[in-house]
Amino acid sequence: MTVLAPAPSDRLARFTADVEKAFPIIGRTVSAYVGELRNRPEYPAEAARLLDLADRLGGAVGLDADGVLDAFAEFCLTFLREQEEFLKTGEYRNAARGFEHVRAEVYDDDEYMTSYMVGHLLSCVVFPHHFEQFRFFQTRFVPALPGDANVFEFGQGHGLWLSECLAGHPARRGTGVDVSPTCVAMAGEMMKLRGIGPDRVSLSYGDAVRYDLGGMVYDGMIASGLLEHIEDPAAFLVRVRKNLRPGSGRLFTMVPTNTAHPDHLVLFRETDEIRRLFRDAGFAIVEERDLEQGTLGVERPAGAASRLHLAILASAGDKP
Amino acid sequence: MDPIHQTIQDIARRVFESPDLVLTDETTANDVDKWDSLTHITFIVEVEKRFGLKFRNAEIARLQCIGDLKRLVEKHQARPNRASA
Repeated sequence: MTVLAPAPSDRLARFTADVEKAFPIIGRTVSAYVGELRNRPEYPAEAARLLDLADRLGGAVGLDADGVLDAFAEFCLTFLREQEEFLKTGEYRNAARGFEHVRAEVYDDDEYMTSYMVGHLLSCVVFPHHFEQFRFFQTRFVPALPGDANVFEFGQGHGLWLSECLAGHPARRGTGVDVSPTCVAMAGEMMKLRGIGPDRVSLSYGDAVRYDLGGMVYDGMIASGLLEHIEDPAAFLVRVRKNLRPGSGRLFTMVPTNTAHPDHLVLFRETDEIRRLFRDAGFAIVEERDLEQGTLGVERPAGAASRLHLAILASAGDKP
Repeated sequence: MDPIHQTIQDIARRVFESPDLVLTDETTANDVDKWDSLTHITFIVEVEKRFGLKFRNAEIARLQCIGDLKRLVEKHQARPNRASA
């Protein structure tokens, strides 16, 4: 008997209905976001593909269907809790405590990181700014890499971005370094799911910010959702620029402003701060997207700070 | 009115800025002005502080009505080692 896969729009409708039923407080907003995203012709198929990946990745790391849904709720509620605190204090909760504190509280917590990463993957389906970011990455960074590209991801997390560069491009190679052991294992599962063998990708545990790139030259670097998590993003950018291929090499990043998470250390209040960071480090911004963050149904008060997320495609620039 | 219900109602009146708000076990976010996802968190954080509890995020997300919240408080209060505020 042939079993037909559900049509993309069915899969998406089922997910939206599941979220709305299980989590009423965020469900209505999620449905509204999906309604908005459906206007994009590529969305249903892409969303179904990501949902399928999230389900299979969740299964690979021990989450059943309810666990995958809970992971999404965990991601949303964690953001809301942190954001509620940030709106009162004007500072990220763990900014003064530093990286080692965050490593102990967040990155070393296997249960939390499993949930956080699967939830983040699902947010790429549902949050318009995350989906936009993903599409910018898919359509502007990935295809620009040469067929035999060497790609490095600083903090690859669940592995979606790095795997997107390698899947369907058998001559490309990738390296991911992550400070969370959970993420190293999870990204390994992602690569297996996507048919990317260990001969083509190296994933290791470590501090990606301090990782010795030696004399390697990379065609692509991914530092997305990284700069706000590290203590000295300026020094990091200066250091890694030397290893980006001059001319054609591209670094992809996305950095949020005024958006709290437990492991956010550096508060960017305006997107110009981020642009300045790149230019001061010698990068040239080739292309960018300002992505308005959804508010999970909360009306933003007048005069409230921007919550733009800035996605940047940068080259190594002309400075020696 | 049981004390848990009274406490939750007092908190809700303050958080949702509705001094005459009357909650029933069936009250949902749809029934109360200004109850959105962020004020929901403010409300829950206040409930946690008042009762000296800490709920899991998935528990908070799954709440459908005030009755669910009351049962959640009772469940956590019954645990031998509950988080303190």
